Amino acid sequence: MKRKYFLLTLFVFGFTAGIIAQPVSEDLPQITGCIALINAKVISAPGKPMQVETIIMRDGLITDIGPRAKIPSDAYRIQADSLYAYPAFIDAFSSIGVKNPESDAPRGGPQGGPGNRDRNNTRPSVDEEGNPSLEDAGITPFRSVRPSVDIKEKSIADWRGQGFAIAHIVPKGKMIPGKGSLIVLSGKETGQLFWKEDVSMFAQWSGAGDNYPSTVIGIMAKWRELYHNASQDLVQQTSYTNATLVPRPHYNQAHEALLPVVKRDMPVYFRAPKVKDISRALALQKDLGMKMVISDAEEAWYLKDQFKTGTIPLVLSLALPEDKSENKKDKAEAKAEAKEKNDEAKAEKKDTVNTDPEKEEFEKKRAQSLKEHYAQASVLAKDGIPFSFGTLSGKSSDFTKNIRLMMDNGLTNDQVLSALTSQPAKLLGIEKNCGTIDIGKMANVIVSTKPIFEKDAAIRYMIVEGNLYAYDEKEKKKVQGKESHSASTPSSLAGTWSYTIDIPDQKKEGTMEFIEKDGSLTGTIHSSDITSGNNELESIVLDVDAVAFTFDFEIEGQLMVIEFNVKLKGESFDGSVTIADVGSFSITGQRMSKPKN
Amino acid sequence: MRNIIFLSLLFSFSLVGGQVPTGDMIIRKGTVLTITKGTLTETDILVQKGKITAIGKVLKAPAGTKEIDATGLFVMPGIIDAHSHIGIDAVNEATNPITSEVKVGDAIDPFDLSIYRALAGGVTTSHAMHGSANVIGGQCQTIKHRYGLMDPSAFIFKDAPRTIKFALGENPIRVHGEGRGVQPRTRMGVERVIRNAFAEGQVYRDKMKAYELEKVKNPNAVPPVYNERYQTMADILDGKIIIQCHSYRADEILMLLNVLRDFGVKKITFQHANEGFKVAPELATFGAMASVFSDWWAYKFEVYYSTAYNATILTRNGVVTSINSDSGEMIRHLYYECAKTQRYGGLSDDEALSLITINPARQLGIDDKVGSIEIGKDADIAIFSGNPLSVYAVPLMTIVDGIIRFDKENDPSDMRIYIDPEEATPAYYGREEVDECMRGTDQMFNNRH
Repeated sequence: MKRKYFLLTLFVFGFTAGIIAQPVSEDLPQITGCIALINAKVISAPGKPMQVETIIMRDGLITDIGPRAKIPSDAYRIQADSLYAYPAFIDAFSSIGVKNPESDAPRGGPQGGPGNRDRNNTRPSVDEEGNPSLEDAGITPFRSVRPSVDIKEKSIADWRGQGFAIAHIVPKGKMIPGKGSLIVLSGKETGQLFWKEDVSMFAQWSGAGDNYPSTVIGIMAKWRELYHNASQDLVQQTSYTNATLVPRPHYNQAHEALLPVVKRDMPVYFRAPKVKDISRALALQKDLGMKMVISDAEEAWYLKDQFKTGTIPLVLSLALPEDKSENKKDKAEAKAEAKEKNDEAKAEKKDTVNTDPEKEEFEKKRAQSLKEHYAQASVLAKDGIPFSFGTLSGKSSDFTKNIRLMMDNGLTNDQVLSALTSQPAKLLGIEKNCGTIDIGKMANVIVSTKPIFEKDAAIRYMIVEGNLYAYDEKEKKKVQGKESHSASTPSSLAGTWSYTIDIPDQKKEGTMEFIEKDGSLTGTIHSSDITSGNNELESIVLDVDAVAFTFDFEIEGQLMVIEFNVKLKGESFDGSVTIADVGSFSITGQRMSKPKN
Repeated sequence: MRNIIFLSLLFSFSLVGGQVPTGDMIIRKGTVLTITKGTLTETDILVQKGKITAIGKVLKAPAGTKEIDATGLFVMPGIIDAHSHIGIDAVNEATNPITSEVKVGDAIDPFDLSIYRALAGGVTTSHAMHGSANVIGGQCQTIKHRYGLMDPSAFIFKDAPRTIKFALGENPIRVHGEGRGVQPRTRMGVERVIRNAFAEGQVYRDKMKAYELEKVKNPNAVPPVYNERYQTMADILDGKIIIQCHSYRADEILMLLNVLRDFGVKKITFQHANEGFKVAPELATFGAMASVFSDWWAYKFEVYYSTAYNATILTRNGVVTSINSDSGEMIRHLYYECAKTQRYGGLSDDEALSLITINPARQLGIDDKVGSIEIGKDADIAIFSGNPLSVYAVPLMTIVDGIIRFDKENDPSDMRIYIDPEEATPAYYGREEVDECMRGTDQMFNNRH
């Protein structure tokens, strides 16, 4: 039930924070299959020295590279004298381009009643209740990610805009959502995205809600049983093929789909963000012996000794925990300021509260923990443990910010580049084709204005298998709190606006009202979809024509923050709405009225 | 200096070669409550590699052995809680009346502060149980309180027999009958569910046996589809698993004894068993054991007919009885709980302390390793300022495998190992006490009670 509401809301709101690069010519037909990137400062692979070279790309491949590479007459020439070129990034674990399921509320199942019990059997089987169909149990290893991919998904362009050319994508779901595929982030139709289908099995600790298995203990038990039976099936299939008088093995869709896993032909990418998730996945691996990749890890340093042998590869999450203490403090300070104005005597009391030594001690420990999370990658790198990065839990808008946070905590430039290029290429078995700028490799190149992870670096071009994407030179400034209020002219936003959020197969509509008073902006949102009490828009920031704000939506006691990022275009706007972990959708709006004054 | 030693022991994160860390020490001149071999005054206990290797007056210890001066203090075996839910992340897989295949040992939470709190009450071992939402819940896990280690498997009590949770009465009826509209809806239904499960276990066991026989003659013999649920039922039938049954009423206790007789199952401890006193002779005859509360009842209809004399009556009738906590709070003062049996029933000191040491060890099948202070047993030891049966006694130090895991003199205010970087206030602030047995089942109820 909860899930249903959750999804409903997903479809109502969504958003992205500050997209760095805006493609300017995404739809331009490419006239030539040949690109010459002339005199760029090339870093051909992590650890390689920078060299000024010309890269020739034809039909999706790098065909020549060197300071004096001959520029073919039909080449589209990019004068890159001031620009930097890097091998484009490979995303080791993600859901780029994967649609959200329309509803994953359990269908049928045991809630409705005793189910279709065989009436002739007076002894009800203990196996009937709480044994839902494979789909309802979230056990769908037979499912491929392919049908849930849509070229129109915003995430494809978003992550390409951050430098990604290749992604290993996995389907959405529960315990075993299904098989992952390799895609190239370029193409005109969905089918063109695919490079290799069904290269991996995706598993996670997500229970099936009211259905079995709902908890980690149920999932563990189910894994053991599935694995045992798939192993048994393997033996039986062999004897059925080779011997006579052997009955045909029973067919089970899930066991059949797990055969490559049992044979160790197909790795299981186990999503395990937290330390306990990781130790449980490792315990399962030890128990069953499948090939496993610990994925989306946020706390792998706790167990780093177990990764030293390199038998279990690691994909680290690009999501980092937020420093909530800062936000908290800001809010508390704002409140305190307001209080001070009203009642200075009370402000003294506040001071005594703030110096609670126990709280301070907690804060100190939390700050330490936060730092450890930021330093995960560098700690592992120091111990020589190889890892890749995956975007599954990350937001494209936080990508550079988070990479820099990790670098501030000890990760080097080469280590970042390696975790985004050569390591994932090796992990995914595509190092022959991808991961470096070399002759014969796929033409996947990032062209940036500065060394890629440097502050203010921006991507000018993305070349994905020879397809060129150009980005606006203007670097979008991340709008910051207070000063923008005074620096801008908020009146351009004040008034009532209608909005439409475009979700596949449906549109969500409503209105937003912004009021300007004494130089500050407040806003409210109104829609038949919002039934909870709160409709205040928060953290409204306006900078010339860029507007960002958030809306806190509470569903069944769970708070979801919905971020809006839109661009004003006179009497209309467009942009995106995003919910963390869910996705983003495009939003458009029209002015309905100006403020009366 | 002491601090440094203590902290380095406490935070020894990684396990070398999969071995749990053990320690050496000598505890000098304490009043030793051995439980099984009387009380010894001014006695030393020598601990080597986590085991008790000598007990006696003025013992010699190898040079450099850590010395603990227990002059004037009481030394008892580490307390054992036969029924708790601490140290695990999942208590109920409440989606099926029978989930014999799940194991709470798969969800050990090494960071649970309740483990440290339990240590502060002298408790060194607890029986982490599946909840009581299902008629046949999951397999439980006996854990040692090695707080400070990161590896969940380091908490597992090595070679402890397998145990499994059964539950009778209102809880499974509420969750499955009332909440989900499936069997069982009544106490009769509960019996039926158990009988059916055992019957399935028999059928499965027979199929497996037939297959094993066939395999000898025919290498291409086809094995039955593997079913972890029935396999577990078969293991119970084969006496490989001890049943730990949540129960309150005398009639349902007798019902289960009859069912077990029919299926030839012998190993069982009744948990709670508030009306156990009514059927104490029957329990004794069967060889069933009982793990009860000292004086906790009337929290729902089926627990009104109760008495604080329960433990005494059971003990006097020859039933191996223990007193448990079923609570992350009560686990800190099980020594008070067992002392209540001296007020209500007049048990001797050793009898009262047996309720939280050797008796729960017998119920969990670990009495050859813990539960008393004897040579060869694990060095799981609690040191008190006075006789633990006195309300003035305070636990001072708790030792697991020869390693100090709690020391009142060195008890930092924040013992968290894992810190959530996004948590505003540590979760143990203002955490609500809940009916632990039913954790994770809220959504299963139609009617809340």
